Amino acid sequence: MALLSNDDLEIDKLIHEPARLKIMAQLYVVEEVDFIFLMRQTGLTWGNLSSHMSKLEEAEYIEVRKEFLDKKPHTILKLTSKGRDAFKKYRSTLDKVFKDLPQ
Amino acid sequence: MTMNEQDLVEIERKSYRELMQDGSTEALLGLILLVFPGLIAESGFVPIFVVFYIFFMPYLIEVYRKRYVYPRIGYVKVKEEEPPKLTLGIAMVVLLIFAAVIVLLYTLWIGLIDRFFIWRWLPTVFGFIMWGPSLYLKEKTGQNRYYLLGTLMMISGVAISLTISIPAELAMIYYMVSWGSFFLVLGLVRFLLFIRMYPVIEEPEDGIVE
Repeated sequence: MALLSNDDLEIDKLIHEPARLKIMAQLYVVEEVDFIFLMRQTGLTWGNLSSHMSKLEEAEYIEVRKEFLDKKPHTILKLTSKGRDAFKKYRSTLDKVFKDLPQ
Repeated sequence: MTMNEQDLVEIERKSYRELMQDGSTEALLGLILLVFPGLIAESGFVPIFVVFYIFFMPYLIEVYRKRYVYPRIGYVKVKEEEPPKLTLGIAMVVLLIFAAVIVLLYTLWIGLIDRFFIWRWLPTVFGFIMWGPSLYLKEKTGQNRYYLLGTLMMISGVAISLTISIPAELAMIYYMVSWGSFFLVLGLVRFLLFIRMYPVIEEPEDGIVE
């Protein structure tokens, strides 16, 4: 543990929140999804998902595109390159933390 | 909560499975297999089929999904497949296929085998080829049932080839029509179950917070 600096072990709190981690992980493995798909896969409610989505969008981790499908609003979400890098970094930080723990 | 590599693979596979459960993959495969004997009988249709398959099929699939799939389970675009890098292994496989085709044409030319021999063993060859999609789907979805499907297609191909009572020219047609009908019915059944299981979800206006 002593060999790692605090910067190395700085965990991104925005991603570390369980609901947002689910969202980030889902977006990490696909190209893009819509609101309904993400809601079903993460088990979040409309309101919860909408609120977390706004936070991730503010941090520029995700890109939200709004379009119309059969005259109905349709929200598409995609991980930005900044978000992808942040998620990779988050995973590697956690790996480092767990690797360094005594058995 | 951590998120290791296996977790991410499982999330990716689940997304793929979600997209597969409407039965369209099976129905489409069934239709292709049913069209195949026609293409073998009348090779003039091959270019029409290829053009239709390359240019119109993706469009039609998307129209279908927008109408029946996305309103029920949501929209997901899975990651695009990266083209395989030309490794020594791939080069060897391509070389092996070329060599096999050349040997086959040569044996046909010198009269060691005739076209009936080829017709007879075509279901076996196709059965082995179908292992490819089976392995691909197993990898993508994580479902072992695709091994079973690949094995059954292979065994039935060998069985039809070995059944002397089936005329050689009809062996491939029997094989394709049987499997094509099976997949088409399976696809339609899965589609009906999908429609029943997942009603259309109305997406409320954005920004609603509980």
